[in-house]
Amino acid sequence: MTLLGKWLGRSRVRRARQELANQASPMNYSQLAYEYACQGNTREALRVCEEGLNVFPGSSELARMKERVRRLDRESRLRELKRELQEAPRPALWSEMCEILLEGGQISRAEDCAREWHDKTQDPEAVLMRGRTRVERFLADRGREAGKSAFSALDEIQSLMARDPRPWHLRLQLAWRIGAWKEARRAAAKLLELQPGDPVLEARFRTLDAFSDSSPSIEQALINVEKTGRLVDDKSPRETGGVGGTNVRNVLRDLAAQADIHAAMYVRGGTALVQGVKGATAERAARSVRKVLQSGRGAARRLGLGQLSEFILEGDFGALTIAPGELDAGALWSTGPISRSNLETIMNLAGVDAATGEVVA
Amino acid sequence: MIEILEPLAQLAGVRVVALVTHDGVPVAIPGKAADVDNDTMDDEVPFTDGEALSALSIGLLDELSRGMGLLSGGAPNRVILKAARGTLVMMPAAGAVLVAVLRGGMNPEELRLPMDGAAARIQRILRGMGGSRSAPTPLPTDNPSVVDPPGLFPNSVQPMPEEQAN
Repeated sequence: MTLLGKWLGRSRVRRARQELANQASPMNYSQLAYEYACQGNTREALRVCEEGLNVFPGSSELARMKERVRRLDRESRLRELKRELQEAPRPALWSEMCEILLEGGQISRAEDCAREWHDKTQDPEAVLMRGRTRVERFLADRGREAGKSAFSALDEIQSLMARDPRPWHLRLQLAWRIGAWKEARRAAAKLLELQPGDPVLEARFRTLDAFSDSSPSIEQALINVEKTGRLVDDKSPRETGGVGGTNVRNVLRDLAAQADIHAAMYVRGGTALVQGVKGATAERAARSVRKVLQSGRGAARRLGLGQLSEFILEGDFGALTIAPGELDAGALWSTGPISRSNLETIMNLAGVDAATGEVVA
Repeated sequence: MIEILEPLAQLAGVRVVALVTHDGVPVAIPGKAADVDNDTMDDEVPFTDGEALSALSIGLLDELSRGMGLLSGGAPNRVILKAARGTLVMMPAAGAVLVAVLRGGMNPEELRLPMDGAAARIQRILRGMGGSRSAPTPLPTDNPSVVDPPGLFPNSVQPMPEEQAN
C-alpha cells in the first residue's frame, strides 16, 4: 500500500469511528470493520465485529462481515505459509496449512496439501491428515462414496500407524456419527487396548456395547445417512427450540406483500409457515417445497457437489427459489427471478431454526 | 450435437455439459481440455462418469416435476441447483435435457444466454429430423399446375410412371 493510500485509509477509519461513536448501529460497526480490513488490520476488524455482535447479537450483516474478516485473516496466513514452505519446509507448517484450509471448509485444497506434503516428505502424519480430510469431506457432504473413501483412508492409516490411537479416534468418531455401532464399539475396544483405563472411553464402550446388537453395517449406515442427510448426533427439528427475536411471520408477510411474489414460505421438519396463499393452495405449496428440497438435497449429495446452498426452479408456474439451511429453509414462489435483496432475506431466514407455531401442512 | 455443446463446454467455469434423453441416456457429452482449479478435484466427483450424471440429473428432474405438479405447475423449464462445490443447471430442450455442471463460485446466470441458444439450436435440429421422417406424402391431384416431384421410390399413393407401368 502506498503512503498516500495509507494516509487516506487512516482518515477513512477515523471517519468510520466517528460515525460509530455518533450512532451505534450494525451498519456503522460493519463499516468500521471493513475500513480496518482494507487497511490490512484484520485483528482490529475482527475485534470490531465481535464488539458489534455483543451489542447486536442477531445482526446477520455483522455475522457475515466477521466471517469475511476471518476468511481474509486465514488467506493472509496461508500466503505466509506458502512462502515459508518454499523457503524452509517443515512438518509443522504443512500441518498448520492443512488445519487452516480445513477450518475454512476448503477440504479439497486441504487434501491436495496433505498429498503434496506426503509426496515431498513421506511423513505418516501427512497420511493421517489426508484421512482427516476424507472424514471431513464425508461429514460435509454425507454421501455414501465419500464415506467409503473415508473408511478406506482410515484402513490405510491404521496399517501405517498401528500403535497410534489418533486414527482409531477418527474411526470411532466417524462410526459413531453414522450410527454404525458395532464398528464404533470395535474402535472403542481398540482404543481401550491402546489407552487402558480412560474413563470416558470406558463409558463410551459400555454405551456402544448396549447398542451394538441392533447395529447396521457400515454400508447400511452410510446409505441411511445419504438418504436422510442426517448424522446420528444432528439435532432433530423437534429438539431445536425456536429462536427468540426472529419474527419469521412478519418477514414472510413483508415478502408476500410484494407484487411479483405469490407466496413466501418457511419450512422446518414437518411444519411450514406460508404467507401469500391460503387453504389448500398453501398446503400444496408447502408440500411441494418440502418434496423439491428433499430431492435437491439428495441429488447434490449423490452428484458429489456437497451441501445444497440455493435451489431455483423456473417454469410455467413462475419461479420457485429455495434457500436451504441445515434443518430448515426459506422459499419464495414468484412470477419471475427474485431480486438480490429478497434472496438475502430468505437466506437469512434459513438457518434461524425459528419456532413454527402455525402448522400449515 | 457435439458442435452445439462444445462452445458451452469451453466456457470458463463449466466442468461438464451433456445432452441427455428424458429416460436418462446420454446423447452427447463433449470432451474438454482439463483446467483443474484449486478448489475442486475432478477425480472425486462421480459426474466424470457421464452415464451417472445423466441418470442422476434425469432422476432429479422427474422428482422435481412430480413435486411441482402439486403446484399445478408442470415440469420446470430451468433448474439451478447451487451447492458447496458446484452448480448443476438443467434445461429441457425438445425431447432431451441440456445439463451443465459449473464450478463453485461461477454465477449460473452467465450461462443462461449460451444455454438458451444451444437449446434453441438443438430444438431446430430435432424438429428438422422429426419433420423429414413424419411429413405426410401429398395426395396426387388432377390440377396440372400443381406438379410435385416424384418420390425416389414408388408407393401406393403415388401412381407409377407410365413407362415403368408398361
